[in-house]
Parts: sequence; C-alpha cells; structure tokens
Amino acid sequence: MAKPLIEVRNLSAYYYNGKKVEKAVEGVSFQVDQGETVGIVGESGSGKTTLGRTLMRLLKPDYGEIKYSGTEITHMKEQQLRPYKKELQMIFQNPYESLSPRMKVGEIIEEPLVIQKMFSKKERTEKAFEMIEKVGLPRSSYGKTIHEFSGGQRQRIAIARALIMKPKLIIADEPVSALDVSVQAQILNLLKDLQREYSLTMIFISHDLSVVHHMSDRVAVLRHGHLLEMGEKKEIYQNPLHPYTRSLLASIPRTDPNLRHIKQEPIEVPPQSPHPPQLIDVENGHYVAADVIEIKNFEVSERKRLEV
Amino acid sequence: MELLDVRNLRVTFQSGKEEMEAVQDISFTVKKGETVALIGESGSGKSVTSLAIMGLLPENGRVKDGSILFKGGDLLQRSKKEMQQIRGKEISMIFQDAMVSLNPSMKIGKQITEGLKYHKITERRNLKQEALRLLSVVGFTNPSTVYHQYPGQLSGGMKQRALIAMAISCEPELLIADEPTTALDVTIQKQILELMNEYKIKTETSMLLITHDFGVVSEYADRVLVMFGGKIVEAADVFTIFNRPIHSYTRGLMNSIPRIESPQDYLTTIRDSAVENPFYKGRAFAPETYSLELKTYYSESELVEVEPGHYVRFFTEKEGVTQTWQNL
Repeated sequence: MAKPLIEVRNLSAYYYNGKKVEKAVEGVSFQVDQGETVGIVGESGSGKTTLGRTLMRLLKPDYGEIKYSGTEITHMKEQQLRPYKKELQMIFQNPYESLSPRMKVGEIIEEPLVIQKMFSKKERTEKAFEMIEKVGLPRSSYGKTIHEFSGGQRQRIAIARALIMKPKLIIADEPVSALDVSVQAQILNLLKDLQREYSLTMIFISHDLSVVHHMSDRVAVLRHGHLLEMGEKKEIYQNPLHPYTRSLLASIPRTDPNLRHIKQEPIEVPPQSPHPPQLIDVENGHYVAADVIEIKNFEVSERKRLEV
Repeated sequence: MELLDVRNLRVTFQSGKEEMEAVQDISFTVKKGETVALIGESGSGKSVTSLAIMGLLPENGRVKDGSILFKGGDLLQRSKKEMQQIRGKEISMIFQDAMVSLNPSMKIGKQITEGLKYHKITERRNLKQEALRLLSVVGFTNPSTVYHQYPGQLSGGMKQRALIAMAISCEPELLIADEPTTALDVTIQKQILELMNEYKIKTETSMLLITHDFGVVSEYADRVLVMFGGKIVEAADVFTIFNRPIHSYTRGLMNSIPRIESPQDYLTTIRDSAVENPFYKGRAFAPETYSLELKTYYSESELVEVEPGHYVRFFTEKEGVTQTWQNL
C-alpha cells in the first residue's frame, strides 16, 4: 500500500479580526498518499485556499497537526522547515500576480534554487532551460519578462518554477481558473504529463467540479471550513451522500441541451453545525460528515441502492 | 421585423496610432422571447458587441460600419440623450461584476427607485412599493431589509440579484447579460440563471447572453453564435450546435471542457480537434496560428448555410500555396 506523504489531523486555522474570530478551517483531518492526486472542492469561503496555504506552512495552524512523510512539521521554525519546503511547491491561481514583472523568466524559474542555495550558477541556468522546454515554451523565453507572455504561458512559467525543485508534493490552488477553456485544457494536460513523469503527489484545489473530477483520484468536499465528505472520485461523483455534495453536483450546468427538459430540483442543504463534524466511513474509505440521525438516513439509502 | 437586427457591425479600437478591429463584420438577429448566446473566449469580441449595442463603448472604441436595428430603428443614429432614454428602459444590461455596477454608497432601494423615477415608470408615491415587489421577484425573502442595505452588506449572489432587480425594473424588451454568473459559486449561479430564465419566459423578454461557458449555453440558449477573433465562425440553434458542430473552433471548445459523464484521460485541445475534424481534412483551423500562418495560406469564406439555419465559416487554401496544415 502507498505510504501517506502528508497527514493532517484536526487542523484548524483562524483569522483574527479585532475581537472577531473567523474560523477559516476547522477540525479537518485527511491524508494524501504518495503519488495520488487529492482534489479539494469548495465554494468561496469554504477555506480551501487557507487549507492549501496552511499545508504549505505559509500560514500557521491554530490547532491540529501536519505530518509530512511521517515527521511533524506543524510547529517547526522557518530554519527547520527549509528542507521540507524544497519538497513542497505551490502553483497559484493568478499568474499575473504570482510572478514578478521585473525579473526575467529565467530568473523567476531559477529563484527557488537560489533561495535554497542549490547548484552553481551555470547548473541553475541549464536546469532552467530544461524546465522551460519541459513545460512547452521556446528556449528564447529565458531572457524575456513575463509581460510578453499570455496567461497560459505564464502559468507554464509558474509550473516550471515549481518543478525545478524536483518537489514531491505540488499544491495547485485554482491553477486554471483564470484561463480560457482552450488554454485550460493544455495546462491540465501538461500537469497530468508532468505528474506522471515525476511521480508527483498533488493536492488540486478548485471550485470547478468538472476540473477536479478530471484531475483527481480522491476528492474532499469543504464547506465553511469543515470537511463534509471525502472518498474515491467515483464514489463522490456517482454516490454523493452529503446533501451539500449533492447540491453542488446538481448545480453544474449540463453540457447537453437534450437533457434540458429534465428538471434538476434544487437540493435542500441543512445549515452547517457550528462544530466540526465527525466523519464516518460508509464503505471503502468513503467518509461523510454525519450526526446520528443522518447516519441512519445514509444507511437506509445505502440499502436502497444495493437493492436497485 | 426582428426585435434586434445587427447588420455588418464593425467596431475598432484606437491604441496609439494603431487601429484594431475588435468586431469584424458580424450580423445576427434576436427575436422576441428568444435567448441568443454569444459564446467565445477572451478577445473574441463578444463583450465589445454588447457594449456597441448599448452605446457604451469606451472612449477609444467606435463603430466603424454597420447598423444596429432595434425595433426597426438604428440605434447608431440616436443621440446620446435618446440612448439614455432607451438604456435601462427598453434595453438593459446585467454585467459580470455587481461590485462595479452597483453604487457602493447608495442603498439598494434607492438605486432601484432611481431608475424607475428617471424613466417615469411608476408614480412617485408607489416607488417604494414597486422596488419591494421587484426585490421579491428576484428571490429576496426579506425585501424591506434589503431595501435599506448598502451593496457592501450583501453577498455576491445577493448583489447579482439586486442588479437583476434593477435591470428588469422598467420591463425592458431586451436584456443583455454579459457573463452574469461567472463570478459566482456554482450553487448560486444555478439559482440566478434559473431566476433569469423564469422571468424571461414569463415576460417574453428577449435575451442576449454573453458567456464562455458551454454548460450555461446548453441549459438556457435558444440560438448560439460562436465568436472567434471578432467574427462569428458558426451559428445555429442550440441543439444543432451541440449535436452537429462543424467548425473546428466550436468542436475544439466543446472538446476541451472536462466532462464528468464522459471522462477522458487527456483533454482534446483545439489543435487536436482541428486535425481530427472530418469536415476540414487538412484545411483545418488552428487558433494558435490563426493570426499569422492562416492568413497567409488560407482565405476565409463568408458564413455558409450548410443546413437550414446552420451557418459556418470555411477556410479554403489560397491558390498557389502548397503548405499543408501539418507543416504549419
């Protein structure tokens, strides 16, 4: 069995605004095995970005623990974290904001190596060229600045920068949301190729259920900071148990006008409890948040499903 | 007579000494009660088209040629003042970003009654009542609370509802919705689109829906115009577009969306679709090379009617050019 690369237990991250506490992520537990892609879906305010940043240790969690490759990194200081940060890289949503407009593309891609004091200058340049080709850009990109590139090309540069460290884990936070559909397809294909080539483990964060479905092995559903359901992709999309997951799936516009006459009734989603839910394993690692009453309902629907 | 009849519209933008043609000779109609979708990616000219209809082009943009007939009269011949009378009353627009379209320092109620007052739709003493009614039409269960709130106190979906309430306040005959739900979460998007669609059907309002999302098109449009590079490359009713798309760009756009019901390991990019398209056979269409190579080697046909109501723009090889698609 694959070993967990990252384990998260009871993770909570709060924002403090004067006396107000905003619980962006609360009581979230899950693990990501080596080589798999876990998709995290959620709407705005679900805490998905905060979760990603906390895993990168860009934010300090308030409670809970993060284990990376068996080692607890939750409370490590910057100095101790360095070797781990090499192995964790992040790709952000907006390549217009996440890349410096003043630096040359080559410098942007090499920068992580410079920070980590790795290799000689010549070797770094060589590696940057290698990455530029790997992500499908011409070698001449090296000396240009990013304003000469389109959104899709910029995201390629961001990917090259993340991969030059030969990371084990990539956290991609809405990496294609700012892109046109045709460009989105190219970037998703590139990410899949690279993931295979480097046996990357990936956490893919997005609000887009179709994109998450395309990229992930397992999927976690986040709402208002709580993890409500998690499981194999097939389970989540074909047998969603939590009403919130069902309502999300029922809201995706269908891409076939012939289905139009079939009305999708909106699904009532009960208000979220103030406390982080308990997750129960319904079957084969399909976890769902439930209180006692709901568990009974799920069991009933489970039986119904088997009879059909 | 169609409600909206756009003929040979050309819109150019001046940047420095250069003139860029954002909309290149497009023609289409919108019938009463019909929803026409303009679908395309950024730079396709879809939003510019809608701004030209509204008479809201930015300073450096101008309509170079063509006409925009609304109920038979050319909107381009109207004065600024006349356009102000038409906008909001006969044609109104819902923008993507409610944050920008709403006045942050004015209460929602006031913003709705302003429009009613300006167009003298409602008697003064009934203004508030009418605003409350509109707020409940767009799904607010507590209209009197919202009436006294500022936009900043509302969520994204609520702001979009308020915007729709304003847009429909004067019962326009044409509603132009430019990516009305792109900034919203999926569950809210669904509510807003359902709301707009119900209203449209009930009142027989016509709608020009501008979007990049084939899902939204397939659920709500009657007719579809696919735009690329300032031109309409394919046009047909929604069923034909989805069941029998012809143009490589249309097929490419559709193929590049990941689909939950029919997953693929790799997504087909537009270039792949162009190569595989049986309708073109080596006379394919490649967006990446469109501006340079295609113009050199291919000439574009006008829209050709391939079956009743289904129009496609074809490419033909220029004479004396032996270059094939594979070499591009």
